[in-house]
Amino acid sequence: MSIVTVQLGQCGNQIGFEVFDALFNDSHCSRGLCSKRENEAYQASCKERFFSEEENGVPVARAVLVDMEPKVINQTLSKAACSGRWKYGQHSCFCQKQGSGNNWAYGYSVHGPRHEESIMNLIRKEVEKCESLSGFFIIMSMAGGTGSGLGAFVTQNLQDQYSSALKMNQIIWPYGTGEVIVQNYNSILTLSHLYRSSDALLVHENDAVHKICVKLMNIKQVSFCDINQVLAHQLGSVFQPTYSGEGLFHYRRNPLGDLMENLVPHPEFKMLGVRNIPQMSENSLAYSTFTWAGLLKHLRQMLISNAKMEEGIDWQVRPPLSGLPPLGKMSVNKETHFNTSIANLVILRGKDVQSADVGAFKDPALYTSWLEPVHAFSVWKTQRAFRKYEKSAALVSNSQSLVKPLDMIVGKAWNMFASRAYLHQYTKFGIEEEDFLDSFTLLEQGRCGTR
Amino acid sequence: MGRRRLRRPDPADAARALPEAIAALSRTLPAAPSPETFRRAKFDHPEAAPALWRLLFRVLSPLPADGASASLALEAQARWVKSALRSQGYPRRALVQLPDDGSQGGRELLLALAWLLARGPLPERLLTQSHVRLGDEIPVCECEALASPGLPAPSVEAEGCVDIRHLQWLMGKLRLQWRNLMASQQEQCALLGKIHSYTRGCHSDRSLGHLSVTETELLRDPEGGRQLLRRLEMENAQLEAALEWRHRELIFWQWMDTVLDACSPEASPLTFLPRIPEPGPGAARLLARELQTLQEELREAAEARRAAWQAVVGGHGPEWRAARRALQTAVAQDLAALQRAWEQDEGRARPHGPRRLARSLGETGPVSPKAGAQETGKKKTTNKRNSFVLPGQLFLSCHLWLFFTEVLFFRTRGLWDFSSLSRDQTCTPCTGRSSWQHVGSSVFPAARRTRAHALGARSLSRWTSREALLSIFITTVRVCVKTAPWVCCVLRSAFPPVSLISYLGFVSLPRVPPVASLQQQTLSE
Repeated sequence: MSIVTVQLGQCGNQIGFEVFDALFNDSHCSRGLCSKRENEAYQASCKERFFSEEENGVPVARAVLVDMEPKVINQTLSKAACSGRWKYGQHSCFCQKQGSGNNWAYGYSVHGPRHEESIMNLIRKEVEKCESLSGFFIIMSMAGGTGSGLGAFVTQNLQDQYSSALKMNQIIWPYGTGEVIVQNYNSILTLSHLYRSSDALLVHENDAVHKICVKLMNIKQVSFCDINQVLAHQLGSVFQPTYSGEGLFHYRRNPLGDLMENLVPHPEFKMLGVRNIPQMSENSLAYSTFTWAGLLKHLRQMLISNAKMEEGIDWQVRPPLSGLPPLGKMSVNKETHFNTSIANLVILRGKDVQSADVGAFKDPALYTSWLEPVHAFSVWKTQRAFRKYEKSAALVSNSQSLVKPLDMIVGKAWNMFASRAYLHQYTKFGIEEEDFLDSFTLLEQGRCGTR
Repeated sequence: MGRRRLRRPDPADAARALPEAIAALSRTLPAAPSPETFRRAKFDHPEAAPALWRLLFRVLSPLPADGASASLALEAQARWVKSALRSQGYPRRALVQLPDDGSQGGRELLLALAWLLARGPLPERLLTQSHVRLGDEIPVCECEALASPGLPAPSVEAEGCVDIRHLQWLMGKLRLQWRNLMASQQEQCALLGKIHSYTRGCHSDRSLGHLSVTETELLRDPEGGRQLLRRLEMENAQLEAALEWRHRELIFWQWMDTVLDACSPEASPLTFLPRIPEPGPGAARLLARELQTLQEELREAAEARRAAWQAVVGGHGPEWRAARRALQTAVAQDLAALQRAWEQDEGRARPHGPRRLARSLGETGPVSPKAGAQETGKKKTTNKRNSFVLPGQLFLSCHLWLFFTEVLFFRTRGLWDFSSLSRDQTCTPCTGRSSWQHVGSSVFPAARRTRAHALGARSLSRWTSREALLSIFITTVRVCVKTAPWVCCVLRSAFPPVSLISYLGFVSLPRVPPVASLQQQTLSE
């Protein structure tokens, strides 16, 4: 089943290109560590999901590119075409000459309705090319104007027109010390609108990925390209094909549906985070060996201590003993916050994957009281290695890890709102104070539930 | 030779007939016990009971047996059989009173089985359920048979209070699973459509035209083919057993009479009043007495109301009776009209049960809308190539208009003279008057040559000159239309008389608009 990607704004388009590149390169990687037939099945599955076939054999990404400025889209199209291995469709991009000026209201109330028909037409053409549609994958940022405002509008439209298809929004959480003054306003408006119309929100924080680039990949000058590549690696390790179930050897047809079924059935808890291990530069890869036990132990501790990478993990954080309330509630140990999860999904790729033991993740102490590990935890496996990593593991979790960043953003936005700063830019385009208040209320509800 | 002696019925034959009949029955029914078990059941031997409980469970369950239902404990199966029989209206109470552990009651179970066999074509119904399906089928009807009470689900005891968030989680999961199921079904339709279109022309049955998934697997995987063969052979054996059973039924029913006689007669016919419980100690006794008095009061009240109603209804005069009769006839007429309308609907043979999917040639067939859109998209592109051909009617009307203007024009100029044309077959020097003739005659000889070559049989001398001219016009125009319709348009604008030719040509073309003829050509490629 196919996934149609909608790339919105500068951020969305750049990330989208990296994601397709990573997926394509992985599926055509020579060192798959599995039989030829298996490799072909893997390739075919990946191809069917993300690419469509064109006459001269070059795969065309199933994507719609939308931006209000032509510069980034042209760059993306040319980069894809230059590689010669895959490309974007010629008529699947939409751009205008005028940007959104980082104004959420402009993107939502002006650009949205004005260009609604053209954008939805492009999406419909892409959907018609699919034999069967699994869902939409919408890549956008939260802080900018086009990505966030137009993204919220497009997601709402998709909810209306394709109500039976699943929608996953890939959101880029802005830097804590970001350049855009109104990024907090944009963020809360985006989040509240997406909570209503999207099925799952997969969040990547710029700060965290930046640290990964610096510490693990040893990159001195981190550019957006490096950040996007790390992001694409994480997404690729989630969406590449995996086996349908225990003991089965054919690939899963609907990963998006299965992921959502396991992680986001509850309407109030839709935000997901991704962690993966190992993550290192290609030079170091040749000198490293891994064991499943070590990888899984680190991954578990990353989850519990809310670390985003395998370096600098706080090993002091322990799950609470059964019967006692989690440590976070006690006022004494405020620093050691234990990260309770609602649901987790572990994806294992590589050699001897059948021997990997995920029992440590089934510990009831990791999860909330109202959901048992048998419902909350699932694991996907495949023998085929991902991108030259002999063994790799990814963890998609619906947990408390985003509570703190969300608190920060809401706090800052509230302060700005209380002093009526920059509100005129929004009210000018139809976003009134009531809308802001609605957004705050919705996010408060979500936060209370997550505690 | 001698006269045919009447074979006396061999007593050994009679003795063999009953076990053979029961053997046929047990070969027909799924998981049926041996004839020996049936015999033991008649005499109420305890070892026969469990097998019969299991048989009844298997026979009564609405879905084909799968691992889950087979693994139910005997007790659960026995309880379910009792409730299923009760819901179907089984009259004997002795069955309900049998112990749940399934250790006793062979004779009662035998009677229940016979009751089920007598009610309807039970072996045939079971065989239809377990029929080996070769085609790709989808259920077409929406009848109630599909929604029957299912098997007993494991009951979950709710310990204490349930967290609402857990319920919300489960509800959301169910909703997402429904959506995933819908998406999977759409995908299945699309893939079936692909298989059907790829295997077009492979099936020996022309009306189907393509292979189904089972048949394709048969070709790819010989081991699968062998398994399918075994299943078909088993089904054949069951069908033969069913036929044999039908031949030998009578002996079975005669034997069942003896079984019924062996049973103790039922105490009283089943009444529809609720069973008054035995008076228990204290409050229960009081309750029982109150229930009894209530029952008496209800019976009296019902009698009184009935009598009163009869008094009100029965005793009126003749005009009331006439009114009632008129009302009755009106109602009868309405009912007859309704029934006729229903029968007309019924005549359309409402489909029932699963139907095999077959993709017909030249159509997109029963595929998913998206694949359908793809197909129509392809069709659209082929139609685009023909789009410059004007619709026939428009062409004709234009040419009619032009024809009349030309008639007027040439008539005034004195150039219109068919008779002169027919006489003058040779080339005349090009003058203003006979310019049309010149144009026409330069075309004629070539056309006549082709026409003459084309029709070898008819000699030209048999043709009148006018007929020959017309046929030449028509051939030329046909050639123009088939090769390049735009040539006609260009010529029409350049040479007004040619429009006359093309008009004549169109008038005598076969009665199919040009669009369709070209379309047929592309479809048959």
